[in-house]
Parts: sequence; C-alpha cells; structure tokens
Amino acid sequence: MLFVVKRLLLTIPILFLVSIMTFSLIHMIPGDPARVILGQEATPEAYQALRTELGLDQPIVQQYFNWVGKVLRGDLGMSITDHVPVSDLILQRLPATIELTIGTFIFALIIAIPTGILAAVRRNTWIDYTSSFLALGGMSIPNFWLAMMVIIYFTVEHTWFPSSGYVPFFEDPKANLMAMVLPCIATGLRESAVLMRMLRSSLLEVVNMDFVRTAKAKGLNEVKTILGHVLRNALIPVVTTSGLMVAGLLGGLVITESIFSIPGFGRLIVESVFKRDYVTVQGAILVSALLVVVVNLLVDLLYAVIDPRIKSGKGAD
Amino acid sequence: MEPLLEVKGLQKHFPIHSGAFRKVVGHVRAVDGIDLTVYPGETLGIVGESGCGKSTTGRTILRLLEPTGGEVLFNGQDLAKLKKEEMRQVRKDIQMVFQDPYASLNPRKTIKQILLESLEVHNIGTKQERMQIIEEIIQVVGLQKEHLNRHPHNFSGGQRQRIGIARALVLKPKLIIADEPVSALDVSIQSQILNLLKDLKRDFNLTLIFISHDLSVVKHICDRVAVMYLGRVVEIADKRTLFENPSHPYTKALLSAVPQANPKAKRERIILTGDLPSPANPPSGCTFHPRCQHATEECKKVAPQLQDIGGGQLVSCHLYKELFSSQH
Repeated sequence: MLFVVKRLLLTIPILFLVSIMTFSLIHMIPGDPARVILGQEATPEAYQALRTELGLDQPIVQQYFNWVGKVLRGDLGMSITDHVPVSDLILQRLPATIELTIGTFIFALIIAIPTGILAAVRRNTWIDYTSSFLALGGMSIPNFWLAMMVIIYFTVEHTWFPSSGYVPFFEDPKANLMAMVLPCIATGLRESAVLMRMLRSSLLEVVNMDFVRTAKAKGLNEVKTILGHVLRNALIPVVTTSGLMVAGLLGGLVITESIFSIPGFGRLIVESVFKRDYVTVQGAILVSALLVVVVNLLVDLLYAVIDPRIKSGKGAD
Repeated sequence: MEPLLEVKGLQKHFPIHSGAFRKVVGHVRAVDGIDLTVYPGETLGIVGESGCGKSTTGRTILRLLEPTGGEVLFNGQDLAKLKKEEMRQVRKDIQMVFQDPYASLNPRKTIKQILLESLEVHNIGTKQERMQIIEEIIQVVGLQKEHLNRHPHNFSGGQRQRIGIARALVLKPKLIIADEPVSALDVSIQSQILNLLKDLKRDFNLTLIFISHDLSVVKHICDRVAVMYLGRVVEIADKRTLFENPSHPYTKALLSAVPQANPKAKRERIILTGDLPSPANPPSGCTFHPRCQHATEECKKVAPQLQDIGGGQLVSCHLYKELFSSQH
C-alpha cells in the first residue's frame, strides 16, 4: 500500500510540469492569441475586449492559476473554430481511440504471447526462424499499406467486414465491433511483432537461469515450468514496452483513424493543428499527456504485482 | 548390499558449434565414461578441480542434462532410457540441492509457493496435509513457519540454502545430489549447513551424493570419496583409506594441497605443473600423464581402467603397484 501511495504522490510533480508546458503552448504562438483569433483586420477596441475576456492582460502567474482552476473544473475553454467546449470535442473523440487502442493491444498480445513463447522455447528451430522472419516483416511493413491491403482483402474480395465508418458502441455494439476489427488488425500486427521479439529475448534470458533448472528437478513438466516460472520473470520488459506502446497509440493512431474514417482523438489533434485551433490543441495535448501519465502509473503498479522485490524497494536485480 | 544407484560408463559430450551454419566441429567431453556405485544410507563425495565434470555428472545422473551415453541404474531402473514423463515421476525420489542459493530459487515466488509446488506436482497429500508437511520441514531446516510467506530476497545466503535443502527434502527423496551446496556461502555459514546436512542424513536416513572441490568439506561429511579428473573417475575409496593412503598420483597431489593447521607438521607438497588440459581435446592414454611426475611410455599410449586394489579402493593408474609399494 505504501508503495502505491508513494507512486501516486510522484505523479503530482509530473502533472505540474505537464500543466506548465501545456499552458505555455498558448503563449508560444507568434503574436498573441487574441490577434490570432480575431485576425489582422480587427479593431483595437475589439482586440482589447478579447484580451480582457481571455484574461491576457493579467500577470502570467495569475493567468496560469486561472487556467489551472478552470481545467480542474473540467473547463478546457472554447474551440476557436467550432465554438463548442473543447472538453465536449475531446469526450466525443476519445472513446473511439480508447477502444481502438485496447483492441489493437489485445490483438497484439494474442499474436505475440504464443509466438514469443514458442520461438523462445523452440529456439533455433523452424518455428523460431519463421516467427522471427514474420516479425521482421511485421515491423517493416508500413501501417497504411497494410491497412489498405486488409481493406482490399476483407471488404472488397470478401465482404466480411465494413471497410470504414464508426458507430458508437452503445448505439449498436455489433456494428461497432465489426467496424473495429480491421483497424485493430492493421495496427495490431505491427505492434505484435515488436512485443513478440521483446518477449522472445526476455524469455531466453530467463530460460537458462538456475531456478528454471530447479523447477525441472522438482519434476515440473515443460509447460508448467514455462508458464509458472519463466514467463512471470520475463514479463517486466514486455510490460514496459506495452506501456510505451499503449501510451503512443492513444495519441498516435491518426493514420489508422484516417484510413478507416474513425472520428478519433489522434485525428482531432491533427485537424486542430491544421485549423490553428490553439485552444483545442492545448486541451487535447493536456489530455493526451494525462493519459500517458496514467498509463505509466498503471505500468509501475503492475511491476510491483509481477515482481515483489520492486515493492520492497530492493529493485529487480 | 544392493546399490541404490549404479552409474555405468556415463558420458556427456557437448557439441562445439562453429561457423555460420553452426556445424559441429568437435565435442567437449565433460563426462567421459564414469562408473560409480552408491549404497543406501551412505554419503559419496565427488571431488576434483573446476571443470573436471563434477557438476555435469550430477546433472546428467538426474537428466537435467541428457546423457550422451552410459547407464544410470536407480533401484535397478535405467534412468537414461526412461521417457520424459516416466523420468518426471522418478524425480520425486532423487532431489538436488544446487550450488547457488541466490539464483536457484524463483525470485517471484514465496517460500510457501516454492515448497508447495513440489508436492502439488507429484500429487502428494491434501491441501491441509501439504501445509503440515512444509510447516514441519521448514522447522527441520532451522527456519520458522513465519518465514513461509516471504520471498527469497528476504533471506541471507545461508537461509536460502536451508530453503533449498527444505525444497529437496519435502518430497522425502531416496537420494539427494548436493552440488557444491556450501561453496557459495561464508565459511562460518558453511559448517552450519554441513552439520544440518549431516543431521538430516541421520534423521531421514538419506543417501547423499556430495559434489565439492573442497577436500576438507568432503572429509567432514562423506563416507566414500570419488576423485575426478578431466571427466573421469581416477580413484574411489572410503574416506579413511583415501585420505591416509591415496594411490593415484593426482589424489596425492590434491591431498598435499590441503592446508594444515599445524605449521610445523612435515609434509611433502606435490606441485602439479601445467594446467588442466582441454576436455575438448584430452591427452592420449592416461589423461593425467602430461602432469604426472611418474608417467611412462605406457601411460602416454594406453588409457588405464579403474581396478580394485583391495579394501574397496579402486584406482585408475598403471603404476599404482609401484607407487603403492614405495609408500610402505
């Protein structure tokens, strides 16, 4: 429990830094946000009025605390171009991306765990070579190309899945899941290759350790030895990679979202950047950073579950 | 008396791979034709320098390494021929205590899980009985019940080795192979563990194979001793005969290297020249001949066999008669 509290307290300075960086974003815009919002032809009166409205005439520290106060109440400001609250925009877009991330991750695990284990246990056999070759392929094939190939095969040749479109899960769960299958395959395949290689090398390190021999001497069969003794000791690097992967996916699924026309979070960020909607970009980046912090927190807590030595502060030696 | 374990011509050769296609270019003859007999209730020591194949012998007997050749008769059953599943069943009766108490326990499991697992795998007892067994055994090795819920990293090296011994004992094996069980420990802890093993052996009527490079440790705990050199046994005898009347030149050299407490005691130090030859390319004839001060032409050409020279002493040397008589 102490470990969890400690780890939670550690996120406070991180969140503070994140908030400062996101806040400064709006002040890094060349010129002045009010000028950007109003355009070049605005009257000085209108300009001053907006500055007062946005609080830009106050001292910067005051501005920061005003902004943090609003953020804490869930107010991320109004979108400059769409004139709706940014929090609404984000809440509209986030579920699709979270679903896509989870789906991609699950698909990656389903592929990576069995192949990774097989490749490590049957090292230097055809199983190892084939899976390593496929993993190399998986890592080298560009995401968008694979996405298009998947569309061609599964929707044009065989009409098994819809090629695009997104239906919210609570409107029509079946249509939602059907639409999610192809995007998850297209991105998950690549991620699975990374995880599989990671798992394989980490297993190989553990498989020759003394306690694995002990397990064999006890009379455990191969399956029990691998699942009961080797896998858990090999999981730390895999969990680390998974954390980075999930954090990356949450903000970086733009390509998949674009190809499959999913109104996701990644697309929101990119669209807002193009529309120079600074307020939305600011809000989206804050949320994105928050998600990364949360994922990292979960990963750290998971470490402690996997390795009891981390909890007691002895480290994984 | 019927032997509990009989090892006949046991071999373990490791292939040497080379080149891009991992072609086999030779073999390391780690264990090259070993004969051993272990009787119920005795402690057989296996000694020799680093790299002579002691540990490999222990692991090959247990098939933690697959033997390349030879027989391992345990209660008359050839372990080397058993199928994987049959061998798994036999493991209940032969347990091993490993050298490194730090690496040989799974860091993610509690002591309770480590001990229970052995019983679960072999379907011994009900849940309550299993708990009872491990609570008993943990006290037998000198730890407390409260220790069961801790992880290996909470213990010192000596305590971990006690756990390792408890792990081996929990299945009530007929034979325990202890592979350098004290060499990773401090000297002060070594004697505690050795005495624990001695007591357990008496209380549980165990048979023990004790692998060590430390002659004084072997002298303390063993009944009979086998001396290994370069993958072969060069001499076997009961402890007293071996230490008082060594017959192989290598055994003599080893014994002369044991430090003695009395600095004034007269002793003849035999310094071996040269290094241990590579087991990938062992010398012809008697493998010890390049380092033996008595070596003759015959030694260079003909490999000697282990032969009984009376009193249960077996020696693998062409010259034992001359050397033997020169002593008396």
